[in-house]
Amino acid sequence: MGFTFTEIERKKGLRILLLFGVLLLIWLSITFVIGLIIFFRFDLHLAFDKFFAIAVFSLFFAVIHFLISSSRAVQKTVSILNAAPPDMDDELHRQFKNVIDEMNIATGTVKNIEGLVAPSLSLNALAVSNLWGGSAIILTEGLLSRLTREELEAVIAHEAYHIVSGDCMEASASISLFSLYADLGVNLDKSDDPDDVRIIINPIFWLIRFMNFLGNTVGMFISREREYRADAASARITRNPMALASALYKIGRGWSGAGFIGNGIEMLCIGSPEGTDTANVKTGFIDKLLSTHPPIDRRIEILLRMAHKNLSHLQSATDKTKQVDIENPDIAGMLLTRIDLSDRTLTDINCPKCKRPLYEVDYESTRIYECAFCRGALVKSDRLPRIIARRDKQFSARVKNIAIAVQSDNFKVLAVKRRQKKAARHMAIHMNCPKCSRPMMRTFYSLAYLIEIDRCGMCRIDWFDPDELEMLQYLIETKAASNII
Amino acid sequence: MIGIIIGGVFGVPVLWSVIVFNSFVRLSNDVKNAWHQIDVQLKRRHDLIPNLVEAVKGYMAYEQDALERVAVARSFAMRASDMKLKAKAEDSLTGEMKSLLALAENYPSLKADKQIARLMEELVSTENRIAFARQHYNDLVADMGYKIQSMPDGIIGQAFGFIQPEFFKPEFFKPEE
Repeated sequence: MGFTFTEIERKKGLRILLLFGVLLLIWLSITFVIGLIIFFRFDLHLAFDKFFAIAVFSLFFAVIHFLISSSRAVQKTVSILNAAPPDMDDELHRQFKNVIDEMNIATGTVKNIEGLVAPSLSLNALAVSNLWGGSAIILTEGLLSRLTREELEAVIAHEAYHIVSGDCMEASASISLFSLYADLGVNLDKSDDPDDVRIIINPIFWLIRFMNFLGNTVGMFISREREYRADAASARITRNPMALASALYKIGRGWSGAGFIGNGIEMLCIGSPEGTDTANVKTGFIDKLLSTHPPIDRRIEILLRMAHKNLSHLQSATDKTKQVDIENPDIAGMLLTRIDLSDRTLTDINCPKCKRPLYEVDYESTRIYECAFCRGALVKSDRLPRIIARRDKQFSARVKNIAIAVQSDNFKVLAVKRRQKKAARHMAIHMNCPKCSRPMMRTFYSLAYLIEIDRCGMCRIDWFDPDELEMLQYLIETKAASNII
Repeated sequence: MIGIIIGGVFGVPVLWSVIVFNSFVRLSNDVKNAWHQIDVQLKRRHDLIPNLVEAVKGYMAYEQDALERVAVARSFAMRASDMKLKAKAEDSLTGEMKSLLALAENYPSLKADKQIARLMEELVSTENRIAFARQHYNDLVADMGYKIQSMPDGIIGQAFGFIQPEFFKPEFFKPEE
C-alpha cells in the first residue's frame, strides 16, 4: 500500500476521539467525586440517581477543556519558546524555509506547516499542531547552525510526520490536559516552606501529583512509539536514513536543552531536553518505561541498519571546527576595515557612549549595530543565540587571553560574594538605552559566562563594549569557561 | 421489525457504496492535484534557470557549452506539450542542471558570491520540490491502484470506471528487466 499522508491524516480522527474519551472519563470521575463529597454528602445512591446530570456536566467541562487545550497549542508553545518566523536575510534561515516548503509538498500540503526558529543554543526541534489547522515546526538556532542540508531535511521530515499523523495534536492536547497540573506540581516543589501549603491543601496536593503522574505516563507511552514511527517515515520520505542518523548523533552529543522547555512539553521534541547523559541514553527497563523518548543510540542503530552502515561512518563524518590562531594580525588590514565603511549602513540609532550614529553591519550571519569610533556593538537579545551558534569567527590570541582573565577575575569576585552571602549578580546603571532612553542595567551575561554587558529589558537589546562580544563567543563556543576555576 | 431488517439489508450496501465511491472521487482529485503540483514546481525551475545562467556566465566563461545546453534543454522543456515528451524533456533538463552544478564546484569564487549562493540554494530546493512532488504523485497513484485492485472497494471502483493513472517514471533510468 502506498504511503500517503492524506490517508494517515484521515485515520488520525479515531485517535483524537480516543483521547477525548480518556479526557471525558477523567472529568466524569472528578465530577462524580466532587459531587459525592460536596452535593450528595457521601450518599452513593443519590449520586448514582443523579448520574445523568453528572455526565452532562462532565461532557460540558471535557468539551471546553479539549477545545481550549487543542486550539491554542501552537500559540502557547511559540510564546514559551519565543520562536519567530525565519529571517529571510540569513542563508540558513532561508534554507530552513525552503526545506519546510519541500516537506509541505512531500506531505501533500494536507497541513500548511509553518517553520519557526527559537533563539536557543540547544540542539532540538519540535512540532506542534492545533485541532483546526495551524501547525508549526520549531527548530533552535543551535540545531539550525549544526545541520547539513540533508540532515535538516531528515529532521523536518521526522517532525512533519508527527504533524500529519496527528501525534502532535495528541501530544499538544495531552500536554494541555496535564501541564496545568505539572506546573502546579513544580511550583509546590519550589516552595521553601514544606509545612504550610502541602499540609493545608493535602488532598489537592495529591490530586495534582496523581494528574502529573498520569500525564507523564500517558505522554511517555505515546511518545516513545511515535518516535520510532517518525524516524521510519523520515527515512522513507527522504530515502536517506543516514541523514537522520547523523542528525540524531549530533543531537545526542550536544546540549538538547535542559530547562529549554517547560514541564510537560518534552515529548514534542525530537530529542529529550533532559540532557545528553540522561533521557537520550537510558537503556534500563525502568528508565525506558519512564522516559519520554526512546534511547537515541537505539534509534541511530535502527537507522544505520536501514542504511547498511555502522557507527564508525557517523563518527568519521562529524564536523570538526578548526581554530586558527591569528598571531600577527594584518595592521593595515585592520585600519582599512575601520576606514572603509562601504559595507555598512548608517542608522538613526546613536551609540550610548559616543552619541554618534551606529552602523548596521553583518556579523556572523546576522545584523548588528556597531560604533565606528568606540567599536562597541548593539545586538538584539534574540540574535545572540544565532551569533553564538554560528562558528565562523576566528579569535585572536589577545581576545582569548582577555576573555580568560576577565572570566577568572569575575569568578573570584563572585566566589567571595557567595562566601559573604551577598547577592551574586550585581546590577548597576552606566548608560541609557539608545532606543528608549531608559537606563540600561549592567550585568553579567549569565552566572556561567561572567562577561559584563548592558541590557535594556524593554527593547530587548544588549550593548557590548569593545571585544566583549568576541570574548563571550570565545568562552561559550570553545567551552573555555569550564576550565577556569 | 421486518421493515428494519429489509432496510438494513438494502440500506447498508448502498451506504457503503456511497462511502467508497466518495473515497475514490477524493483520491482521484488528490492525484490530479499532485500532478498539477509537479507542473508548478517545473515552472518554478524554468523561471529560476535564466537568472542562474546570467549570474554564473561571468565566472564560468570557459563553460559556454554547458550553459548553452542548459538553455536549450530549458527551451525544449517549456515547449513540450505531450506528457511523455514533457517528462523526457524535463529529465534532460535535470541532467544538464546537475552537470552544470557539478562544473560549478570547480569555481570556488562562485560559492563566495552571495547572489549566486542564494540562486543555487533556490535551485537545489526546486529540484527537491520536483522530486517530492513526483514522489507524492507516485504514492497516490500506487494508493489508487491498490484500491482499484483490492476487494471489496475494487468492485465500486471498476464499476464506476476509475482507472489507475500512469506513474511518473524517470526516462533516463529504466529498471533492469
